[in-house]
Amino acid sequence: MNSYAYFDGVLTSSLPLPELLPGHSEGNSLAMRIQAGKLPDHLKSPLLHAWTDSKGTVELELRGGNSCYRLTAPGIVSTEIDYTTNRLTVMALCDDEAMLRGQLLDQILPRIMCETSQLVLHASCVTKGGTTIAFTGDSGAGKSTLAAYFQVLGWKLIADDCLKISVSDNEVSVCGAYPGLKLFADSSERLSSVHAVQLPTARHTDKRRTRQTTQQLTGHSLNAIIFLDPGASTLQIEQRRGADVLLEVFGQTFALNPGDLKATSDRLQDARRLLETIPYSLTLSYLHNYDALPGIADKLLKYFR
Amino acid sequence: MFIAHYDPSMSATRHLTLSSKAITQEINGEMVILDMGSEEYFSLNEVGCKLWRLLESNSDLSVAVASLLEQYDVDSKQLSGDVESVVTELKRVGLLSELPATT
Repeated sequence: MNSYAYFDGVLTSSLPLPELLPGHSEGNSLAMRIQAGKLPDHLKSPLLHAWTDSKGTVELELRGGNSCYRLTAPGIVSTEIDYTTNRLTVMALCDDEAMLRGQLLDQILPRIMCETSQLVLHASCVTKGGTTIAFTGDSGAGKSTLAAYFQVLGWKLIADDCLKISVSDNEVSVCGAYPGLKLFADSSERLSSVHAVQLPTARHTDKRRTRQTTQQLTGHSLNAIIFLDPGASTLQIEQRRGADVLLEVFGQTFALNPGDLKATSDRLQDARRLLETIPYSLTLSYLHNYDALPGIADKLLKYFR
Repeated sequence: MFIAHYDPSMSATRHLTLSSKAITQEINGEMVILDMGSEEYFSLNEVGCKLWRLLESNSDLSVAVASLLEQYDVDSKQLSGDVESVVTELKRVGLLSELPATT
């Protein structure tokens, strides 16, 4: 078993997870052990939820109930989470280990974390000099590209895709799943200074994964959450409050079982508390163009001065 | 679309029931509604939010409208039209159901 840092804790795994940094024994144990194994036919468990892409193809499905769930990415990996033993059994459905780990680290484990965390948000996050900002939006909106560009400007990466959020009375603290960036090839070339350790990534995506050599950054206080709206003809930043933005942030949260009434209600309440506590919740409308990045960063940074 | 002028003294009592599958959360006076049945999400503006809360405590639409008229300095015909629009939309998406009319 190896120990790895994941969010603000340490998990143990018999599967090699080179995307993660080593975990230290003094770290907060996530009490989750990952092991390879064979699983019985998943179709015998009742289907609780299916996540589909825009064409209706199932990307991930949840079966089971009570304390034992089966999360399966068809053709890639099937996993069984047993909360009574805190054991995650992983069965490969393909021979592409990078693709398997991508599903495990970016889709399955964040959903498992939801059971013990306030919120896990689909967001990138950077920090510098006491200012921490998160970028959220749909896939392809530019979360990773903006995070990479801010790294070029000297900011440190907290998260690329999964951000754990804890809301207290007057503060929102965040930590990322692991210090890695996944960039499309064109972004990677334009933002070459963020290259660190090239790692294999899933073959079904054109994104390249890089692992940052910095340590896991935890416990930063979040100042702003920025909703990305690419495709606009003009650069615009707008402060937002109200129901529409709550729906947007809720829509970007991870969930293990979206059909769970209490968990969903709690998640919606936590999303509201996040928006009521955070100093800035902004929509950034912009043209998805690498040449526009300096102007975007300049306009955003003026907001926080 | 024709929207009738709402006059509580002239109308049959209308009772509206909110969906038990709805999860709600208020923010800045507005409301987010998650329909756990359809897995669709909705938002209500301030008046819609207050109407929902009033119907939670009393299913009689006339009571809700009377309460809103007390809270807002607005023409009753205008308010009735706004309320009817919200009710119609919420019924269409299955978040509200109307019991048979009584007189």
